[in-house]
Amino acid sequence: MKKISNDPFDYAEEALKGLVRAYPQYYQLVEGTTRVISRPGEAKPGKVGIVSGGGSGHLPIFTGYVGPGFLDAVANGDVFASPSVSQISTAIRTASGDAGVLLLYGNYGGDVMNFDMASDMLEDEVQCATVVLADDVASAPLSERHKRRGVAGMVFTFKIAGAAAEAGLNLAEVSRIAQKAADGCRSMGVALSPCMLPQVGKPTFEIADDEMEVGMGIHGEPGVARTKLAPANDIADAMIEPLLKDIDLRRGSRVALLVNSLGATPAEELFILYNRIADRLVDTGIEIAFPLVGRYATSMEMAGVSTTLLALDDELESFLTAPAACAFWKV
Amino acid sequence: MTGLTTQSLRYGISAVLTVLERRHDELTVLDGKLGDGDLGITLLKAFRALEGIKDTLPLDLGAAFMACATRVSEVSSSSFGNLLVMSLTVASKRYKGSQEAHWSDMAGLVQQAMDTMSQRGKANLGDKTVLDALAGIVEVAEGLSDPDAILEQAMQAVSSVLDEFRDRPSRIGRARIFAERSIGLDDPGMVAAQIMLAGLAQV
Repeated sequence: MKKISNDPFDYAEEALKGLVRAYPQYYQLVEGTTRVISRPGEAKPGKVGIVSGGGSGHLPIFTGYVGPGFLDAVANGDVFASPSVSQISTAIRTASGDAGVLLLYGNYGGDVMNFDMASDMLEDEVQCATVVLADDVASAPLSERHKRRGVAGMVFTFKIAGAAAEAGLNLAEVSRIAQKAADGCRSMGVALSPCMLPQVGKPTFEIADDEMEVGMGIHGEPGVARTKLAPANDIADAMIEPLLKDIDLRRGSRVALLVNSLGATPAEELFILYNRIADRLVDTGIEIAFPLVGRYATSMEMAGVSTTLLALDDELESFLTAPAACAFWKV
Repeated sequence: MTGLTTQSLRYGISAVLTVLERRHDELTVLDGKLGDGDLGITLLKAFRALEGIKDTLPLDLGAAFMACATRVSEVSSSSFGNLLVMSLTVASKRYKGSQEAHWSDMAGLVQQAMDTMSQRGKANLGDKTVLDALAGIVEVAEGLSDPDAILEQAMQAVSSVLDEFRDRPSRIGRARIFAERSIGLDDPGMVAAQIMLAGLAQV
């Protein structure tokens, strides 16, 4: 495997630096830090701040979604490693415009611990609420939903919570809406090839050229089945069927659908999969109200794809379709 | 007799730093056999940073502990650093608004810190971690109100816990992966507690 970097230990920070230089209209490095990114300017008084964070190596997740109608500040760890308590505290303070801050992050042990500690330490300073994102159906059964990891579906909650905050709703309301989005969101992925951690220099897992792993996590966590590489339609079915089993969608339901590349998989292949997924949804009487196809949550150069369904109601749909902008997604 | 004040905190920071400057290598070597080998440096960095702010710590004990927690979180994000931050945050909340805590409250404080660490760190008693050492301290400190007696009892308790667990396997963290190899070795977190207590007792 090959990788572009100067010093592997600078990988995360150099990427953030370049991101901020390329798109200063959306991103700034918070003064005195190399890992905390916020919207340019001061936090808006009266607006609930939205903060996220997690490991680097997943762009556009997490920090790419800083922007009007999205997130206000993000703490970025090393590649696939949690940001520190101190970086998270800085992100919270930066995003705080005196109406409280909502913390939205993926359900990973290190992130949960560090976000909890940061909000605990700032208890007297900033009112924080938390919605933990856990959309990956492959990572635990429905009966143990609290153990599921957060994957690509996180972006829908970023968008919806960001819009609710932008609309001026209070912290309790923004949290309620974010929780509803998180609860209605399910993802399932298939990995074809691994990625490489810059500081390790080896692939994160081994997989034969003619194999795929269904349900693999975005850091290479083991999935539910390793099989021979199947035709696109079968791969689509391997993702959509478990989602439809996991979420209660009646005929006539409206959904947002994300067909996401884990990094190396090209747009063409996403659209080939989209055909089959759309057919399956039409068959079951479900309407795709909001399609999204592309690279929205990645694991660097991993080849593979994930599919996310979000059950919509009028409220979620209105926030999902409200104007918002960042370098990677404009609505 | 006075209780725990910001002044005691200042004394404690310097005392622990003195022993860490001398013995951090021991921890690093031990930790390197089972973990990532950064424990000695983590603690040294944390206490050097605390030494740098100790004279500016406020008299409100809660605020002083919070300033310490914040400072440690800035210089260390390793797992043991996090445990230290959690403990300092627990102390901060427990003593918010007061300038003095009774020494008889130490058992309760350590118990509360233990509960928080166990919940956040997902470790249980018996896993061969610093929690087992702290449980030993709570047991003997209960009902004591003389700081020297508490310290002496705590040191003995940690020694016995180390003896008790030496030949057991680690059940959590990276050491768990080398469970067999951890048999016969002291848990680095417990030894860290032992060294810090030795610092406070100046032995």
